[in-house]
Amino acid sequence: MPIADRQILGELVDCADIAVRAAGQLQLFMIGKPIRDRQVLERVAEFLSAAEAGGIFMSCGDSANLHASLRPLNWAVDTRMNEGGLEQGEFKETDYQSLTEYLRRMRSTVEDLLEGNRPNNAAIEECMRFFDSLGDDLGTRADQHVRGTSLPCSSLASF
Amino acid sequence: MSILTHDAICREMTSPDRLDDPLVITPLLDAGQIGQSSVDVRLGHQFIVLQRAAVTHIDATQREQLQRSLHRSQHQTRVSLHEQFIIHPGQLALGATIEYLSVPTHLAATVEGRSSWGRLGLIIATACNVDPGFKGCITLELVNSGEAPLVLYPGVRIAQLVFHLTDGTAKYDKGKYDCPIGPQFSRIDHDKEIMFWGGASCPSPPVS
Amino acid sequence: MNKPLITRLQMLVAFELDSLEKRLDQARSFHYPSAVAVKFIDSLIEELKQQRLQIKQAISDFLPEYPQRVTNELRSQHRLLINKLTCLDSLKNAQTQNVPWSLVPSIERIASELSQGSQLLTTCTYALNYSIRWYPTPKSPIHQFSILQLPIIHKHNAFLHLLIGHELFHPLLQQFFVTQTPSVVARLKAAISHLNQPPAKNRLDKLVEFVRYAWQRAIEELMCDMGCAILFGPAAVFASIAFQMGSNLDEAPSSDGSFYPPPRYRIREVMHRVFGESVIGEAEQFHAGLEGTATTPIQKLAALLKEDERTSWAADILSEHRETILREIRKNDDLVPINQNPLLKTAYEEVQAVLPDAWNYIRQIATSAGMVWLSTIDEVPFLLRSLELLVPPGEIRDTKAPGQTKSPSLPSIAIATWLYQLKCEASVDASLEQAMKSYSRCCRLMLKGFEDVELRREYDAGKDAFQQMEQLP
Repeated sequence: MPIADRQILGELVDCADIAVRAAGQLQLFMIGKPIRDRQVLERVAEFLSAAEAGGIFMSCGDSANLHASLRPLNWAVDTRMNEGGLEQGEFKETDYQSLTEYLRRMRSTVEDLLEGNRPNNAAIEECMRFFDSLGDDLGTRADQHVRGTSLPCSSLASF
Repeated sequence: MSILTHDAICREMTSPDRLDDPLVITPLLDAGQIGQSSVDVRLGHQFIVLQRAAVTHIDATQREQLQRSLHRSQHQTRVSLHEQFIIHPGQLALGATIEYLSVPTHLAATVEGRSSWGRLGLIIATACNVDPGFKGCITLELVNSGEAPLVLYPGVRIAQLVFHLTDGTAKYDKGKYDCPIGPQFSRIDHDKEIMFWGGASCPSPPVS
Repeated sequence: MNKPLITRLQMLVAFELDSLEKRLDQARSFHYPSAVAVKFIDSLIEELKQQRLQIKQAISDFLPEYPQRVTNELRSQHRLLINKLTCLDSLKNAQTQNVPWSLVPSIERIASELSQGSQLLTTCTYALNYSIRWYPTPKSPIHQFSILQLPIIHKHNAFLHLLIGHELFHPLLQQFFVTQTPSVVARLKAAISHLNQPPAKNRLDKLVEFVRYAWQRAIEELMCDMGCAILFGPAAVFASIAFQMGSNLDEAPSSDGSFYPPPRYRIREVMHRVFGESVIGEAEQFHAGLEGTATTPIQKLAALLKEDERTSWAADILSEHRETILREIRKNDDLVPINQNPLLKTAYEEVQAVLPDAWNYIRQIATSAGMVWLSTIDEVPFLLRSLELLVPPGEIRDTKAPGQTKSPSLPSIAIATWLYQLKCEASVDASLEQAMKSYSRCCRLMLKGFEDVELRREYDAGKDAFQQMEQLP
């Protein structure tokens, strides 16, 4: 595996883990237990912010806050599509716009939690669903690469 | 054959007449290494140690087995600066000088262990001649003949080189040890006649 | 997932955690050429402890009410763990016996001069590539480490190891991309939208990211090539060509190949940006009025070597190789596949647009670290004379006072040894066997030269402290 791909794989594994753990923290909050991992919520807010910057860029062309790759946006769109929140087919500017609003809503829920405010249960559940799906999607994608695969010699020859 | 003194050694290293074939000792970390009639050399980082359990014996006349035996029984290791290398009583280890030598064709040298190490039981360099024209770091055969394990550190002054003028110039063949920068495994099998003396491995005469 | 299956998953992860920790603990007892490996192991073990803690916490938080949540967390921890297993390989191949140990102190010093506080683990790999892994935005102690990989098959090939210079620049480009990305992606998106026959547009975000990534990878590689050339001068180009000769110089960038730019493209940009060489042919130069207008740094080195008759051969060798390289880069076969692919063409137009800024950025980093090959070229003639005596180029001796010596710079050692090696290669009467012997010998001499420089640095630093200590009552 080329090294640049390994770097992306690391990002994928890391991001999947943050999503899974963030969903866990939200679940804790829902059942009235204290949140014990603020760091994971901060990191998931960073992810949402990066995806949102990508969404703003794709919907209205403003790239001022886009300082790295569009991968967070790509992954967020994939997850939303798998969730059924977005229709398959051609993706228009308005679709990016609605996705951006969705991401912004979730980021503000997470930030509310971090600031000690209490968002409503529906908002938390929405976030939790998204992070569950994101963790599942990215994790499944990473699993295909983190495990070694048995291959016949002929396939190595063509490598 | 006369021994070179401090000034003569310095002349061999710097004289404009010797630009094509000077005496080079590098790196010379401290000018004080050049003594009245010798040059102190330091212990390098690399060692070859014998692993007794790895082979039953070493027979230099069994050319094919020899290389395998040497590689199985001799382990190459590297010790960083300020790290210990411990040599146990009765143990043989090959080390090398930090200094790389380029000996002009009109000089030869002998390697002598420093007496202060000798008094601790460390015997250094059993094969102590350095031929005219030699280029490389000198392999040192280190044996602890004392009663207690000795701790060595890379960089310590371990031996002395004494230089001699030769009677005429010699042509050095670097075929066997080509500009080594660390200790070298024995190449006894490169001796052409050794096969002859090991009767069992002599090729049979052709049958007419 | 029901309770027995969760228990089984929990056992699996616990077993793997134990096993990895044991192996890491064993790895601590091996010998490494520097202290970085042990620090790396300690950080990894600390991370495993954190993982254990997180698993324990998840179980106490969510069992028995939320078994799916525990399953998700256990699977995620399992994935993090599996992804760490490559570290065992890295550690095994970082042992002293497996790496070109005499180079490690020099590598670590260059890395720390380029970026203070860098923690670089040097290791080898069976893959035929030089590479580095690092974390652009470190989030945990283990992310402070970068892992530099060298091809194990070239362990003793000091000539190629100059490419390490390229790798060391990779982690330093983050700020450049933060600054450039907003304007570049905007232009890329506009260009893709205006393509006459755009590829499937149903996911424009993926398409833009594809082109952005091709752009970033090209710029990254070119910037690191330039950095390496600032560091090692023409020796970097010789090493790069020697390494790339085994592949197609005009190979198009592709997602399969991590979007490496074609080797010819890379060499052309280095020769043009770093060495100020004209990449257009002589006829075009003549028409553009550029012919013979300036002395390039390589010509400057050649002129210096020409001054002394004992090193004038090296001037001829250098000039001859410069001409050969210029002839190769004036061909533009590498541009054909790029121009034929509308997405690659878009990415590479943007590469050309930002290259002047990229060059300024990389030059600034190298200059502020004080690592510019040109600043020490007057050492090269002396080192060449050492090499002609088959003496390692690790010391510049005062020809009047024995023992009065100074250390040359690493670039001077690299350039001198490369020039000497090119001379040996050019020797018409050398058989391949002799040429290979000479190549190995030159590798040894270069490695010894590097090692001696670091030894003297350490000795001089320690000597001062030692002398102060001796003066104490």
